[in-house]
Amino acid sequence: LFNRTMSKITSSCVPPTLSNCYIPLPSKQSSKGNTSTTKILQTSKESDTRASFIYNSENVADHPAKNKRETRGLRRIHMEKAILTKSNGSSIVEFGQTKILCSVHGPRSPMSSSASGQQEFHSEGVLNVSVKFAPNFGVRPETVASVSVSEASSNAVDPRLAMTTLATSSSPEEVELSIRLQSAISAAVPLERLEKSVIDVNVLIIQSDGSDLAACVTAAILALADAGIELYDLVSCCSVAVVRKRNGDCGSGSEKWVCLVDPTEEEKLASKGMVTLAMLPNWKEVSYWDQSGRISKEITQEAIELCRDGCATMHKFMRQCLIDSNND
Amino acid sequence: FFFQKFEVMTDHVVTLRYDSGSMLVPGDRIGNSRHVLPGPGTYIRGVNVYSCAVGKLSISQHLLDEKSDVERSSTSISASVVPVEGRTYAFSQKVLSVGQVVLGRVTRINIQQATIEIIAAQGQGALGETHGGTIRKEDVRQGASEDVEIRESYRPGDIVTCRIIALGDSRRYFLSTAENELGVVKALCESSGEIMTPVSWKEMECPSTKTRELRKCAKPRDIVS
Repeated sequence: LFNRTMSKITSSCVPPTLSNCYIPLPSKQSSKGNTSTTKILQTSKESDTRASFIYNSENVADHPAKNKRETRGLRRIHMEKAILTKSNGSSIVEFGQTKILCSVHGPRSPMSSSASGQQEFHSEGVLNVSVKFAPNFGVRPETVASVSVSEASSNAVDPRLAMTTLATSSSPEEVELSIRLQSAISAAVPLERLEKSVIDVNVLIIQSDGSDLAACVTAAILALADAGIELYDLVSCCSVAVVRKRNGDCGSGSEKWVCLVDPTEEEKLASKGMVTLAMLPNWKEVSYWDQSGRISKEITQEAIELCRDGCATMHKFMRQCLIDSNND
Repeated sequence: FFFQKFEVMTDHVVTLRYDSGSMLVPGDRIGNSRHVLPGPGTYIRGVNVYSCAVGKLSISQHLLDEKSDVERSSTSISASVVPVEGRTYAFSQKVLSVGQVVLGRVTRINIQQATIEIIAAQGQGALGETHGGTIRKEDVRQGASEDVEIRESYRPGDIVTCRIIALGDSRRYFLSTAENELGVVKALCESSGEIMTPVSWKEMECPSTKTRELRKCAKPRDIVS
């Protein structure tokens, strides 16, 4: 993973329209932000769908739903806020099959928050972020096994053992997600106005199917806005996976790589590298950016631009969710 | 910006991105800070005024004072984002700050200080969670602190109004009653258990037994209807 940096992205080409994006279909659960954009827009020049990149040709037929998704298409998005009555703020976010639940308590005194050390005094506010996978079903055992190979808990190669360690304590992946989530959100929370207060953000990953961090950021920001905590801006986050094209398919063989936005778990495992970007859309600044794997400079540039487009789209949906649920 | 000429009110029309009454989310840019004054629910960054809360945009006309060095008189707009009914918004209302007057209950006293449980704050009403506070001997009243006896100023169970003078540490704020309007508001008589009325700034009297007890009383305020 590369270190994240704060950087300004020039806004020369943030597209205002949603060209070439797969718009979520309206569902009975009132998926947000799609009242005016229910049609699937033009497909891009290369009509290869994602499934053909990942799967063998015989498997493509088994996944008809995945055939329809373009490389620049987001998955079906569902956002809701104020679903928990006892929390100050809460939200649930779904990106396709990834489902995230977030609950926010705050701002409150450090004494009543169990997550912060009671003896410490903070002149500014403190943001406690905790991400947990739902025990035993939040994340697939194969993913856990593939991630935890380098740790001392490499005895967790056995998937069942890995799942039990997840249930009891914070696994390294949870800790890492918490840290990344905190650095992504804290740019938007004005902590200097929150003297001596603590905000607890608890994220539960009910089901993890790729784009975990993007969904966590979305859920956390929606829950913070739902709690009434003033934010500088909404943070939108998007991931892109870089996948190798199969040689037999492409007519022009110059590019071997393709960028897939909002990857699923399979796409993530099959990818050569991934780029995640979280930005504050109105300030046009990046709050979190990381890249994993090994990909060339040109394709990284393309992936980052795709992330930015995805963030802009996500911002529209988040905005719609906040406005709609307030009008109810 | 230094305006060279005298701008007449009616010529200066400001158009905003969002209409008054439209819903805004955090981060929406309302306008340029030259024309728009930031009200509650907004903030300034650089040259722009942005929204920082979820709510409806409300705009009010605001006439600037004429300044002596800058000859201009133009209407400026004050924008604020007002949260929708039924939600308590804005941590700026929930977080206690230095200088705020709060209402507390005395829980413990000793020779040097009185321990207070802050239950309400001015402008916020009753707090969801109580905070801790401390009134030290030197902050009880103005003047010398050697002859101040905590036991003659507060007793456990009294309700006091006090002002936050420092953030203190994680467990308590530092409070002060060193003003005429601050001090014990309500106290119960030790013998009869009835609410006592203040007689002077240092005495309270029980209406039934007529005994007087020493307290540092707050100046009684008329109830505003």
